[in-house]
Amino acid sequence: MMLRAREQRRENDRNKEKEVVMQPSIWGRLPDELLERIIALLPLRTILALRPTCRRFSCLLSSPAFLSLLHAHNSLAFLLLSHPQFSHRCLPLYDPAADGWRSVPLPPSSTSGSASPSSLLLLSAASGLLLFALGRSSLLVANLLTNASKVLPLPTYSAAPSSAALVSLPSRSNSTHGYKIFLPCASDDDVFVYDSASVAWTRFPGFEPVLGRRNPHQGGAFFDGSLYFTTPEPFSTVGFDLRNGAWDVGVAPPMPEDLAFVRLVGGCSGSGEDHLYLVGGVGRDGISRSLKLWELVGRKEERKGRAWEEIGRLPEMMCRKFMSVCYHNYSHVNCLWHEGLVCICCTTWPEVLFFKVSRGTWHWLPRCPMLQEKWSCGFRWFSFVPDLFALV
Amino acid sequence: MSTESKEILVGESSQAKPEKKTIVLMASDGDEFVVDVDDITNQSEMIRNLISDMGGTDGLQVPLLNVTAPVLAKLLELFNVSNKNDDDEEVTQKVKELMEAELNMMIDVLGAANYIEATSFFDLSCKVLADKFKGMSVEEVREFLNIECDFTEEELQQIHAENAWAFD
Repeated sequence: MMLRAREQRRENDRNKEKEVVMQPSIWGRLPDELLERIIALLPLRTILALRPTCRRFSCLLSSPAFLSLLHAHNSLAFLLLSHPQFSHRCLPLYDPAADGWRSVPLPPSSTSGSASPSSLLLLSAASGLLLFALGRSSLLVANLLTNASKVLPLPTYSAAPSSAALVSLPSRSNSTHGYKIFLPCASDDDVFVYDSASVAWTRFPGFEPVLGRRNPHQGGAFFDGSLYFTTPEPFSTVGFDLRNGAWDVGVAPPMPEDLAFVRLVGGCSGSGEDHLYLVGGVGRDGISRSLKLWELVGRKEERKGRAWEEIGRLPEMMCRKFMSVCYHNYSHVNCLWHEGLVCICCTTWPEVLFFKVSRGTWHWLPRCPMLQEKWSCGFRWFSFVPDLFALV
Repeated sequence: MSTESKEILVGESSQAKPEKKTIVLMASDGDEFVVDVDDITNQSEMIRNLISDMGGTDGLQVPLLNVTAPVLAKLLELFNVSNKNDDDEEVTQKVKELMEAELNMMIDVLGAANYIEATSFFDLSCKVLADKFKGMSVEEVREFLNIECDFTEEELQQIHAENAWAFD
């Protein structure tokens, strides 16, 4: 029975082959212009997979005419894992669509003038761009899809940067994206903002409660044109306007009570709307008994009408696991947005806890198989959504 | 190919209401097709613009130099399906059938739709053709489009190394 089925399938395959062999000359009649229109409708994943077909196919993604035909929807989105013990040449990448892990090669890290490659530390990711600290004196912005990268000398010479926030900004005139980099300065109270449109750094005053030593792990959550930060206890939200460098302490309503730790996450829904989420450990005396998620609701113009609205609570069993993996040391916790998910990560634990906003459900992303057993801390996660239109 | 002139009324309702306005489309071989104005302007941006430029439809004859009679007949037949159905399901199915049965004709219909700027029908047809490529290997696509691989072995390996991370 099985054998016959296989025979039948082989027969079908043979017929299919015949069909394919009979058609090529006809398909070859398709004018180039129409063929490109058709290819542009394929998912980005498929277009990339077809690059080896011929030179013309391979060059399509760098042709402005072809790019203008591509639809804005993107079929690629990954989580990147960075760890100090990974080589500087590639990073593991989790593909949710295939539920699998692959390795992504990093851009070459040798700066001009020096023969040996400098160390490359991933600092931030936004809309297809990755921001690395390159050695002690530069940053590297890279688009892995277009193989484009750019080295930016740091505006001051101090210690190598350990944190910086990359923010992607859609262009007003076309479908490309520019970016800004928010760089806190370790040595003094200033911050620097790099703007890809003006190709220049601007210095702004810092804000001690946010950037001071008592308040580590502040990446900043992008929402409504500003980066949002939290202060140490008593917790509050502070906004940094990327356009004019102004710090705003009244930007969000007071936080819910009895919080042991807080993190902000800026997210963008499928319809392109910005959202700001608050992840908080709830409990007294600095010990979290539960973990909740709030969303900032209300319009920006009417500040009094704004409120933190609870949208999720971590089930008790999962909460126990989470609190035990971060040893109740909440400085290890960092949060990020990834394609409709609020991800709650712990630098000391290789799994990721995430909340599906649309469904209100909680899940764990299992450990990456590329990790060695003995590596126990230093895990940092980034949302990587490849984008052809993100210009370096 | 027949040289007699044919009349095809697009849309059933047009026969019942003779007061409905019509125009004449002329295929490259001189065949004339009488079509309902609403039905054709619903599909073709080029004809919509032409009518507004001419300031009316009285005795309007539109020569379509690049479109032969059988192709135009097929295109109008598909427009008819599209006009009669609110969703795209039925016309997608018809385009799929045509692609499988007469690929040559389908490619000509696509070119004609592009020529008269029947944007939504054109996009729909392109999608049906694009689906054909989904799941094909590089070798199959080369064979299908009659393309020769112009890469060296080293170049192929490099391309693979460059973006293997993006797909399985």
